[in-house]
Amino acid sequence: MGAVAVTVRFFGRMHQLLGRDELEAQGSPGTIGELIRLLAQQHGRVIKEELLDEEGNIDYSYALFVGGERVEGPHTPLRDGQEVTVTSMLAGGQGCSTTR
Amino acid sequence: MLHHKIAYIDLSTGVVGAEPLPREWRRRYLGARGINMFLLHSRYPPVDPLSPQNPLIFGCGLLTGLPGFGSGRMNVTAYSPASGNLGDSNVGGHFGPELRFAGYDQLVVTGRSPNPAYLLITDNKIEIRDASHLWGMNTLETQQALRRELRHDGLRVLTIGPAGERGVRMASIITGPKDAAGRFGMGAVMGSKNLKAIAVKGTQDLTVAHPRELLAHSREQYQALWKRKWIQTLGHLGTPLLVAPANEGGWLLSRNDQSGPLGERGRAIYADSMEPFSLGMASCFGCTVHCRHRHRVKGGPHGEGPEYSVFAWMGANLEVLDTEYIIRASDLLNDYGMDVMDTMVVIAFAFELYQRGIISRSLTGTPLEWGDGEAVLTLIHQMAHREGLGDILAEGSYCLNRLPPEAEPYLMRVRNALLGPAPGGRVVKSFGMGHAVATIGGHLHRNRPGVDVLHLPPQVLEDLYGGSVSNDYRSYEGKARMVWWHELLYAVCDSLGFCRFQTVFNSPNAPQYPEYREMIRLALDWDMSVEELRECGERICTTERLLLGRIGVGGREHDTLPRRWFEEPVSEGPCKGELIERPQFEKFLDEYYAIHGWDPDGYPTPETVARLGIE
Ligand code: SF4
Repeated sequence: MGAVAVTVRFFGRMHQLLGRDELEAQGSPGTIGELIRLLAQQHGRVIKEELLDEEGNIDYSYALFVGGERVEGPHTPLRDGQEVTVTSMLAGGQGCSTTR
Repeated sequence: MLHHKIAYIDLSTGVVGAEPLPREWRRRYLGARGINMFLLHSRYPPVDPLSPQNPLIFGCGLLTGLPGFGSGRMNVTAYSPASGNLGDSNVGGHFGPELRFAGYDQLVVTGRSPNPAYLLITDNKIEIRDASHLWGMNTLETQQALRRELRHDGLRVLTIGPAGERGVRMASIITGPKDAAGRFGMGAVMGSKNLKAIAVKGTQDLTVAHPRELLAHSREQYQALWKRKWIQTLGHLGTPLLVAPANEGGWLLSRNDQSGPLGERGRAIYADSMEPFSLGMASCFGCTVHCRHRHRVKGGPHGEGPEYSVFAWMGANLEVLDTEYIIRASDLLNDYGMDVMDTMVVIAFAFELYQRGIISRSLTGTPLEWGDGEAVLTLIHQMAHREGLGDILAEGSYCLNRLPPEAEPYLMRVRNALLGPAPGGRVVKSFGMGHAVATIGGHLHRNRPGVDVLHLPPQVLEDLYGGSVSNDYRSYEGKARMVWWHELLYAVCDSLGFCRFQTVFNSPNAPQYPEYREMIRLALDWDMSVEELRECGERICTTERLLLGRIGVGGREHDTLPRRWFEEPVSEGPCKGELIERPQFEKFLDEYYAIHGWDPDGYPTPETVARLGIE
């Protein structure tokens, strides 16, 4: 399969950090995790640092959507031509591991 | 030495008295909302909300004014002319701390002044003054006029606008450009007393038990909070940041909750759309977050906000997908002193009646088409001035008395309180069912578990809530526990004078009982356990429930939701088909009452009342 572009739309914090509201990842990422790593290689490390936590899961400060469905985690599959949307959430920090 | 005082102001007789706030009340109800409810329950039986006998209670939190977690907050409480039931509204800004610096924690205002009046509060002194020259001014003009007249730029003022003066049932009380005791018509109560404003200037220090440690501790907490990504996000984007995930996730509905999410069209009103208007961020007293935009629209003055509520209730629900209109409407509502949510809910209701042909142009004067921002602004003006259709809508829930009977099913309300329909109560089950049991009618801030939409690991939820709770927001499992848990925490947070956004509202690792406990120890040298604090939350919620019982709306039959939420599934989008299923809802109520120690009809049992030591 030849390389295809996946379009990613950024709203909120990532839009502010990148100064752009849309990026294309060149390649064929099969999962959201692969997409994020690809974007980081092509457009800057901040993308990975922001969107993934220390364990490589989606950071709870963000909600990602693919084809209108909420992304459950980095293993969520991606199909060619799908648009990914990245939005900010009010949550997270320190891995959400707080237990009281 | 600063004493904590409660002042009683009778506007009919002009008598003002003050006495120390009993330590016992504070220990058991903390302050603000807690003590306000205690007073209402123990001293003021239900009355006509617009009668002079209705007490309008202003209460600061136990720790309002100290460096804490957004500690500029206070509550305004009375019987509500908007719902006819319990009214209570939390307000930020700077007024609460200033009131404490003047020596007062609580004000109880009764009676009706023969002429327009305002209160001037300075150190340990309260005067009733003539406000005839202020009557008719909007909220910002009133604040500026009082500052000029009293030659004090630092004066803090709570005021009503023209809406409160005219008895608009959703009238708010405003301080600063936009901080509002917004919901449940507290501004209409103030107007019914001929009380235009309360101005305060205090110069006394708050006495704390361990000042050095408290400062060091607060600094540490601030620094830790500011490092958290969710706080930074809130501080940069403000609450409108939530529009994007709500729309993309499919629970931000439109057209008075008839239609599904807005899809790509909705992106026009995401937080990013504030960029051309924002001049930077501002904050309430003692808050590092700075969650509100300062803005300017072309040809308009500076203002603050708008918040998520205006984006959701006007932008999405009325389909006005234009941020400039959203800002203009928000400013207008603040100037007139009107609640955003109630106003937008009743306007959406009018739009649906027009869509269905239940009302026509002979009544509206103009077409009410979804998305028409000018029509929304016109209706706001009409409501504030009580003209035309606006005069009917200004009656809030009571507008049904002046409309055809077939209008009734389209008014979204719970316990006769108007219900903000947009934030997806049919989809996110904890949000929806929480509205049914909120002690002040359908109000999200009483118990909303924002964390429900995060899809957190089940173990994190179990550790947080002390029991099994599903991490799927469409599921009903464990949601009674979740709603109950948040209800208690928010009662404590409000009563301490802290901000909701800095506790477990949206993030599971935000400050909560252990951090509050430490602040109380450092400020007051009280050793309150987490359990004792949680019990204060229980006591406050159960007192409110008893009040509802006394008003006649405290039983199970009143814990319900609009018919639409039970019978009309979400029509499109990622959450298509979602609604609240009645059998699951009844199970939720059973579980919720049981955790609270209330009987199956929703009334607190004598054992629970005795255990909590409620009079
Ligand atoms: S987070 Fe926002 S609402 Fe809360 S205290 Fe700070 S500025 Fe005020």
